[in-house]
Amino acid sequence: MNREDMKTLLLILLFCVSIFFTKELWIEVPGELLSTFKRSEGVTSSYIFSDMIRPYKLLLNFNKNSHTLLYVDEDYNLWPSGKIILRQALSEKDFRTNHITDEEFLSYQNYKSITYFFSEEMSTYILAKALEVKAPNDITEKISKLNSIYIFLEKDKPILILSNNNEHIKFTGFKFNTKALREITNGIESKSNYTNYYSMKDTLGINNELFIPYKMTDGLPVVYVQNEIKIDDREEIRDIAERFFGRDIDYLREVVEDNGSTIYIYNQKVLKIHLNGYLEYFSPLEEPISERNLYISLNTAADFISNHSTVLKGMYVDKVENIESDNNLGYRLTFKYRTRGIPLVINNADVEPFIQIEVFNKYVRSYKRFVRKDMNLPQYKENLEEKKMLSAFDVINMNYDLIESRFVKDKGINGKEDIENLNEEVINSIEDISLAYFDPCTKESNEKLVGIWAMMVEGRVYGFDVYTGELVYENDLHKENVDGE
Amino acid sequence: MWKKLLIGILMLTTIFINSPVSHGASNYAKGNMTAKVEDSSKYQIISPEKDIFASSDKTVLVSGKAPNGTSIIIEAFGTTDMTRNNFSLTNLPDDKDYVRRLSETIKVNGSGLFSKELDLILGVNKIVVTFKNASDEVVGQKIIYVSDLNQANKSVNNIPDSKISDIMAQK
Repeated sequence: MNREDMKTLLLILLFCVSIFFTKELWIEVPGELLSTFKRSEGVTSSYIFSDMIRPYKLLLNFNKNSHTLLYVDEDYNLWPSGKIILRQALSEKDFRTNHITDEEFLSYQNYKSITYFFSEEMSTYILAKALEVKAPNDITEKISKLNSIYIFLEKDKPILILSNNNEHIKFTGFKFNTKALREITNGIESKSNYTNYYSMKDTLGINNELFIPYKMTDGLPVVYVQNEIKIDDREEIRDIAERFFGRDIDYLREVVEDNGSTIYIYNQKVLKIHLNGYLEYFSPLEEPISERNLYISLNTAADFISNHSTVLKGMYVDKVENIESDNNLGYRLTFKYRTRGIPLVINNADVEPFIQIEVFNKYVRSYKRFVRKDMNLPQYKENLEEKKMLSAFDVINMNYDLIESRFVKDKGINGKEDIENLNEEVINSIEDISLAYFDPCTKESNEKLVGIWAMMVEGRVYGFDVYTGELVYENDLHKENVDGE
Repeated sequence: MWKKLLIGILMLTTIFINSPVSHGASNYAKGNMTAKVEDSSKYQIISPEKDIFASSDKTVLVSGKAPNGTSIIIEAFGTTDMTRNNFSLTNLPDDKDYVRRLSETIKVNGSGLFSKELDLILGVNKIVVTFKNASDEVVGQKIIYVSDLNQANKSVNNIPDSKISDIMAQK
């Protein structure tokens, strides 16, 4: 290489470096133009967006007789590993499809496998996009909505079963490898320190496909929470307002109401922070939206949340509702979060729990947030629960009469003969039973959360204390629906 | 050949008809245990399903159904095998060889359900479930042979991604 070649090479190198630094600079440039452009692309928040779609519980099947259920995935990375497999499955072109029955699906839980459960049905296409699959395959059409994903982990037999409330579809013939996920599962199995979960169908002889524990291996950590927003801290409140409007506080109109709430107004946009730390934001739509797009809306929501407030650890989309306002079509998205990996139930009728956002494609019309932060207090000895934790079966058994009486009332069953022999029907009606923390919401700070078994039974949500079995929370969704009408 | 088959079917039918506990608990009233039953279908051991089986799992769930108010006595027996008889499913211990490891009484309530997760020991385990109320007394029994998965694991530890747990789980 002569001297001239060296110079040319150096010049090319310098040119490349200059492009790299210019790119870095451009990204740092603030301005609405860039963010608008990014939003319309709908891919800027893919990381956060992808992170928001996550299962709320995972069933690990080691063999026919050995299963466990996990709420916390941080120690094992089962969902990130599952996402890699799903990404491949949703990209591969050659696969076979079979519809399978509920019984067949349940029988697949007898093999080494993992099932990811989502809190509600979601679009398979949206999932594929969240996983950054550029050209999703036909799977998104064969099953357009799903609420559980099963991955078979036996050697050399990749099988995927996607399910929703109506059907289970088995996909086979893939080329992807499940070794990484299988090894994580083997590791958990070999530790043997998990709580055993059993199929209600196999152990109670009833037609319910839930898996429940009969004996708990450990308890729940003691957690104290506080309001995310401290209303007394005026500086913090003003910082929040500045972040929402992207303007210095001097440009915002501030109104303090008699009840202690503070309102900030800028260009028809309103931010209200209530005395209890509940935050509400409203912004008029900038143009009519006659066609809704969930993908763009989810990205907009992800962008908005990450730009205007903190993204909470373990936050996930819990509910997606279609909404219409003045002929504009959009979505109401509810996000929930976990505390120490466990879902939270909040007892506060005055606020929309958690995070709720109304999105019309690239516009956010309203945003509501009520978050209770883990105070992360050190675990002193006196703080640790030494009582034995009750299993899901224990609380069902202890509270059976209560559940049956509500069931009889809700179903309008009158005759004595009808009430007798209801046991099977009542137990069958249990739709879900999961561990959760209950926040009584009686204190701004130092509020101790109550560990509960949250049980869904045909339109009712019960919360039973995990140590005493007492009913600490009940929500009658029938009543809520009637009131809503 | 046909005669043997016929005799076998007849014997099985006789056992089934005389069974005091329905589905999953057909092996009862052994030794000095008694069975006085008005309606056999009322008392069921649903899990474990089989009366005698081998497993690699160190725990077993005993669950079932019984009428409200029934007392369920669950007893777990194990064998120390000091006599080096090499007990197994084909060479079961006598009653005198068993040592009672646990006895617990559960009262069935309105749900009509009962359950108990039991820890098992290596070798032959006997689980005896006694249903007791004012009108009936029924006894059910399960035999579980537990083998050491880790030991089996060691012997094939050179094979990656083995499916030992499934080979061993023959319940």
